[in-house]
Order: sequence, then structure tokens, then C-alpha cells
Amino acid sequence: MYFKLPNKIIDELRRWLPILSLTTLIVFLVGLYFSILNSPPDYLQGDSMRIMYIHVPAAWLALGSYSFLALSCVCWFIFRNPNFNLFAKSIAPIGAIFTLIALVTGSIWGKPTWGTWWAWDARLTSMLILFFLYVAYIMTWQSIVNKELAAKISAALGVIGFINIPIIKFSVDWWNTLHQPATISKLSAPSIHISMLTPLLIMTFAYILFLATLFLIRLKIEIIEQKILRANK
Amino acid sequence: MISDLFYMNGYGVYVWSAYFFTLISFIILYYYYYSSLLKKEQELKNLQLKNE
Amino acid sequence: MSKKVKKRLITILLSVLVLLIATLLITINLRDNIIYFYSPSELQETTINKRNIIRVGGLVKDGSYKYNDKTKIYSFVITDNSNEVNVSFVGIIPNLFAENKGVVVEGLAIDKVNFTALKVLAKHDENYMPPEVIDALKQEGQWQEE
Repeated sequence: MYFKLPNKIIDELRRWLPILSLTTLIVFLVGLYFSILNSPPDYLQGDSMRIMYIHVPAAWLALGSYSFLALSCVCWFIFRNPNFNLFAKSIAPIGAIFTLIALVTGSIWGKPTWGTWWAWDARLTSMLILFFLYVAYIMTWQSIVNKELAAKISAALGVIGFINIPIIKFSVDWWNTLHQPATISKLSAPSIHISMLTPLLIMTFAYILFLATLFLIRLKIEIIEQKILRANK
Repeated sequence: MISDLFYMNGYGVYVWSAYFFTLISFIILYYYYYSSLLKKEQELKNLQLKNE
Repeated sequence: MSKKVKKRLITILLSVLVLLIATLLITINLRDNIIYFYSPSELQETTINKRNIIRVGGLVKDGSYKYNDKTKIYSFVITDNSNEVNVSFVGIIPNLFAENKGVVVEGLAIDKVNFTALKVLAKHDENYMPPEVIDALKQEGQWQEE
């Protein structure tokens, strides 16, 4: 699969970037309106459950980003096309920030709900490891000067780290954890009322748009850096 | 009404700090990425001008 | 050049440190501790070391939550519907602690059915509902407490 990057499409998207950013902002504001002003408090948690609207999408996308990263690394191993590494390199810092946001907001939610900021249960610990995996991936690219070697090591790391993703997902089912099991695990009957599901879905959509915007910018930066590198040779 | 919104039955300090942290990180991230994209684009343009 | 070498060295050392911390976290915190807490039934099967701090979790048994004004001791029963553990505790109970709701206590087991808690954590379930909906469901008799 020796594909070329669809540079024309990327350049076209680059031209639409201001509009994409604006759309993200608008969806975000709508999401904020629903999650803070136009949704009921929970019957037990009260208003503290509003943190869920910014916590859950961050956690979902943190897992999604890593899956994308690992997939890109696997593709690189198979096809040895450097473009796959560009994808992985572009998504890594974004995934790391989303993981950090999930950890911090979760911690802030944990204090009033559980009565503690942090617990070393399987879900929280594996999520912290996900953050370290992102950091380690980014650092291999920065610390190893030989880029061919860096490509190999980082790709290996990205693939090995994927083992953590099912652990995070199923930790709440496999082991006794302080963290509750998934609310929206079955599509038929999620254990969440529609008035609370709406802000959650809008927020998730906003997060996805934001992820796409950042990914596009990051990818474009990586492409330009390569062009500069080639021009300087 | 407004003070109710900030207080949120005692949960306000948690809710607002969580939202504040998220929004601030998003704004910083976006600003940093967008400005470095503009910088790189300028750098590439200068390089192309020099080579011509 | 030497500046570059220095920078490389620092980043390599940092990444090694990060990996080390990550593996340490796995080995120390997950090895004995993948299970964050024991259920009352699991507590029956484990050999109790009275000096080790352990955690027990389950539901707070209906009608078992009591507070002694003189001794300042909270007491309640954790159940998993087959076995029970009596818990006593001095300190701050979290807001969401309630009978028929999930709880995790951290502390020392006196024996297989008596426990002294040093910390009480409320374990939340995965349901999110507005209060009006709960009231309506209760009126219709459709709401089932766990």
C-alpha cells in the first residue's frame, strides 16, 4: 500500500480550517449551554454529574486516538509507508491531552462523589498508564536522532501499548473497581435519561470536531516540516 | 439565580474548576497549534522564495 | 553539538524514567491489587492478616446505618446478599453514602465479619436520572432499589 498523502484534499481542508474551527466553537457553546444550563441535576449526585459531560467524551476519544495510533503503527510495520507514522505522530499529543483531561476532571468528580481524589483501582491506574504510553511514544520520536530507528521503536511501542486499551475498557467488568461500569454499553437501553444523554452526545460531537481540527493542523505541520527537511538537504 | 449557578448546591467549586481546566487546556492547545502552523507555513514560503 | 547531546541525553533519561514509573505502577499497584476491594463473600475465603490494610465493598444493608452520639462511631453492615460484614468507623462519611447504595471501606479486618474502617468511599452506580423521573417512577412503583 504505497499511497501518497492526499495533499490536494489536505490543502483544501487547510483552506476550510477557519470555518471548521468556528463550527467546533459553536457546537461547543451549544454543548456547554445544554450541559450547564439546560439539563437536570442527577437524583443522587446533584450538579456534580455535570462534570460527566466533559469527562466521558475526553475518555472515549483518548481511547479512540490510541486505537488509531496503534492501527497506524501496525500499518507502518506492514507497508513501511512513512505516511502512517505521520498519522501516529499527529494524533499522539492530542490523545495525551485528552487523557490528561479525563484524568483531571475524573479526579475533580471523584472528590464529591466517592470521597477521594484518586484510587488505585484498575480503571484509574490503566488510564494513567495510557497517559504514560502517549508520553513515551512522543519522547521516542524526540529523543532518537536516527529517524529510521525512531520509526521502528515508536511503532513497536505504539503496538505493544495497545494491550492497555481493552484493559481500560473492561477493567470495570473484570475486577472490582471503585469506578462504576459503563453507562452506555448497550445501545438499546442506556442507563441514562434522554435529558442527560442529549448534552453528552452534543459534547461528544464537539470533542470529535475539535479532535479533527487539531489533527488536521498537526498533520499539516508534519507535512511542512518534511518539505523543509527535504528542501534543506 | 446567578449565585445559584455558581454555587450549584455546593458542587459549584468542583464543576467550575473541571470546566475551567478543560476549556483552558483546549484554548492553549488550539492557540499553540494554530500559531505554530502559521509559523511553519511562513518558514516554507521564505524557503521557496530563497530557492527561486 | 554538545548542547544537542545534552538535550538528547535529558530526553532519553526522561523517557526511561517515564517507562520505569509506568512499569513500577503496574507491578506495585496491580499485582496484589488488581481487585480494588473484596466482597463480603471473598473476605470469607481469604486469610486475614490483621495488620494489613484492605478494602471491602458491597451494598450498605437497609436499616443497618447507625450513629452513636457518645462514641462518635458510625456503624453499618456491608452485604453482597449472601454474606455480611459489620463495619465501624470514626470520621467523615461522604455525601453520597446511603443505605442500599454501594460503598467501599478501607481499613483493618478484626475477623471475617467485623471490620474497622479508616476511610469510607461511596461507590456510585452507572445510572443517571433527573430527580423528577425518579419520583415519577417511584409513584408508578416501577423504580427498584438495588
